[in-house]
Amino acid sequence: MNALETNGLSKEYTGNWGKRTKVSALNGLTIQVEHGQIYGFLGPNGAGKSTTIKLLLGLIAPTAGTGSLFGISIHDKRARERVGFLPEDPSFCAYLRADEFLDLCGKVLHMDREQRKKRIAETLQMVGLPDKATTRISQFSRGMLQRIGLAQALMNKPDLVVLDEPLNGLDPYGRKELKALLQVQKSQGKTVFFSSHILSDVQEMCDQVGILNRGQLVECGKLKEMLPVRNVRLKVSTMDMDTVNRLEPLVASMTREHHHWIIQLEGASRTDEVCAILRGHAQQSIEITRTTETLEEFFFRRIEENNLERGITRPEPIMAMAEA
Amino acid sequence: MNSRISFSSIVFLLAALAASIILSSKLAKARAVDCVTVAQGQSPMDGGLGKFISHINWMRLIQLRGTVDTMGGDKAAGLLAKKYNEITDHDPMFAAAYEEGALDLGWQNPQESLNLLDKAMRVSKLNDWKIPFMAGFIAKTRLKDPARAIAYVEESIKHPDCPGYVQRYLINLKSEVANGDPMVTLNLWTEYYEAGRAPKDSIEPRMGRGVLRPRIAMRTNTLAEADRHMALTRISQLSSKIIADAQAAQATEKEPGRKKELQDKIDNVGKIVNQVYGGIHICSKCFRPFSAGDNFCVFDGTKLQPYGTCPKDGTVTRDAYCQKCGTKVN
Amino acid sequence: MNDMMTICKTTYTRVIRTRSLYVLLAAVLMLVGVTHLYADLTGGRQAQLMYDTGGGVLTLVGLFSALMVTFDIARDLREKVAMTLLSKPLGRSQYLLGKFCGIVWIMTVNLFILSAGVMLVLHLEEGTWRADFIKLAISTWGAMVMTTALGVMFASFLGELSAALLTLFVFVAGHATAGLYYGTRAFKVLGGMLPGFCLVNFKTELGNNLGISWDLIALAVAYALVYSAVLLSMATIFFNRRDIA
Repeated sequence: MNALETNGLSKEYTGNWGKRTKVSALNGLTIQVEHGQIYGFLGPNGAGKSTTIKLLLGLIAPTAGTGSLFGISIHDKRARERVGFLPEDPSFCAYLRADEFLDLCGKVLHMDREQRKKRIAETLQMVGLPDKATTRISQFSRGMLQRIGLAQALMNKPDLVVLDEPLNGLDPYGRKELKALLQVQKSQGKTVFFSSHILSDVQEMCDQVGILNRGQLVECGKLKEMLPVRNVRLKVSTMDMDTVNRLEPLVASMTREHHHWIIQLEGASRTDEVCAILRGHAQQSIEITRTTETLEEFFFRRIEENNLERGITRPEPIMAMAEA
Repeated sequence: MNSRISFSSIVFLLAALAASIILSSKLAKARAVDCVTVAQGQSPMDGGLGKFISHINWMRLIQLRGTVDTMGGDKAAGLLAKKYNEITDHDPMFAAAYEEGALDLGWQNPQESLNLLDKAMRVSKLNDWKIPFMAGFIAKTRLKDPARAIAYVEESIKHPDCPGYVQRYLINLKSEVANGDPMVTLNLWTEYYEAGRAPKDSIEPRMGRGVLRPRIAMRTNTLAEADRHMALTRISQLSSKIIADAQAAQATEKEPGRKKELQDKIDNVGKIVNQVYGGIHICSKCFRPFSAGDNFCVFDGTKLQPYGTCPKDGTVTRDAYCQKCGTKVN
Repeated sequence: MNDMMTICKTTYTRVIRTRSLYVLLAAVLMLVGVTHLYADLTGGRQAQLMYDTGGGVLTLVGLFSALMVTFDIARDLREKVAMTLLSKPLGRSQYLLGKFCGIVWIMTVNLFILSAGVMLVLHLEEGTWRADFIKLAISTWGAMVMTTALGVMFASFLGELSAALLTLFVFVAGHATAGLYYGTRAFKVLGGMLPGFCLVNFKTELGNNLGISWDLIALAVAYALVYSAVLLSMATIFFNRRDIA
């Protein structure tokens, strides 16, 4: 059983007052997130990331498709018992103190008084706000709000933590702490599902990613398997002329550096063939270094490809600005 | 999406709606008995603050009345009528507004004044005799319409706390409609007097120092002392006038039929007077009451059969026995 | 039930921490008190004015409290408090009923304070205790419970401003529909389906010293509570269909 699963999940928004215009926010999303994974959910603005999260938490109703959390339908409120959620740009109950707000969340999570008291102290410590328990939320900065939001999401020691843009508003220290916190969650066997725009952080933390573009899932899978190898670098100590001649049509370059030969391949497709030639002639040790595409490169490439496939020619405004 | 609407919530909604329809109907019925209902007109959109708003308008009206005199008559009356209507729209029970409004408007625009009072009379719980009385007064004095005034004053006297002068005002109005006919007027006064009297079987003997005086026993009358006195005086004056006129006419009348007619009239008045003064000693000629010990009528000098005098020493007394000599008094 | 009470308590806390509420209460009590000085302006009817002002401010403060619910729900949605709470195992109906109960609670406290204050001021003015003001306060409470439910109903599918304005409009219009209840059967049924604020308003009668029985007050409050149940069940149906985005 997966921690999170969707099958053909779709959402269409209709205009106000029964206008016939319909906007498809999510179109047939099918994903599975295994236990103990950190799943990064990526996509440009308006791709449907937040819509997906809201669908999973039963905050909005799907137009089609199904979803489940720990095998329980997303329509059932019991599905949310083992979930912690941090919304995007929260402001929360400004009139409450931090501990009162966490206490409220604890009550809604049906925790008893002792449990709540203990957990409030723990979560505040966890998010770096141990001395702000009695401070009114109205006095919190944006980063502190994000932290208190995270604290409430972790109140019930959830098995699935769903975070919508958790890195927004956090300073570099905060981001580092959050990443460490999510790693701790993972190490405890918890599942983390989060959306983010900060691709480097996603690449650093995630086991799995899903890329969403205009409501459609473009890519989904384990990060290690997903990113294509850009080039392969082989380092060998000696090479005779025959080997050089045989390798020349297969490689991109061969250079002599001190006492070694550095062979560069474009892509990974000819790696095995080149290695076989080298081993056949020299029986020497070969040091292989593979360079993959960055997540950012992969992301932009796949989004553009997807736009082309779907006939979306108009560039995203931000891209147009960059091109200009 | 629709799966979020449970069947039980729909059932609950329908059950609650049915209960609210039944309750609202019951409540409306109960309100019709105990609360203010206005026969005509739409309730203003005042959000239930009508009573408060009417008071604010009342204060504004008091301010306005200070300046309204500088306006022209019709304009001022129109403005005042509008303000009084606003006040009474918001609080249909504002009796003072109707009354003061009627007086304010009565002089310049009597019709508006009557409209305001008509509106007051449509309010179920406004049991105020003054309102129809004022309407009658305005109809009589300003519109010179006594017939319309009678209809209003008749409404007024239906109220149990209506004072006697309203009834007497009604007699005057009716008399006026009858062109002051003394016989009609006498009948009206007699009716007024009789209406206040207890039935015949409840005759209460008057007591004098603990001794029964059956001779002067009379029926009790619920009219106030002053009202009773006024009624008796009017009956006495009118009957005297009618008899005097009839007797004068009889003296000059040659035609026997007409003479008989006049005699019948005198007899009728005599019956009325006997009915009114039953148990009281009255002059046989002018039908006015006389006091104990009187030998002659103080109105026409007629020789009377005296009563209440001691046959032994002539002491005048209203008791059964003379207080001086103990002789039984006639 | 516990979830509902939690939301109710939080809503109460939110309102009780609003300073403007205390200023409002003090101001309206002062307003009632100063009517003592209005003898000349009212032509000697200042005691009547005081009673009516008392009744009026009960309605206004009650209305202010009731309308708060429309802003409170909208604010929760805007600030993502609702989203945060509803992402937990909290039913939408419990959330909405909790909001309703919280506002009714604060409104009850407000009306109690005001009624006691007005009765005291009336006692000082007239030298006697106007016990019928309690009837007026209770009937106003009934009307305000209904108004709060109406506010919750509109807030369940509309934005804050439109919900507040519509609540206010229906509150005012509901006082002018008395004719419906004395019309034909169809009109009576229609009247039963609409919020009959005119049925629970006894200000004119009590202000004019017409004896209104406790039975009638009890019937009016029962109607207000039953109609509130109608509005709240509609609200939960709408809110359950609503996207919390």
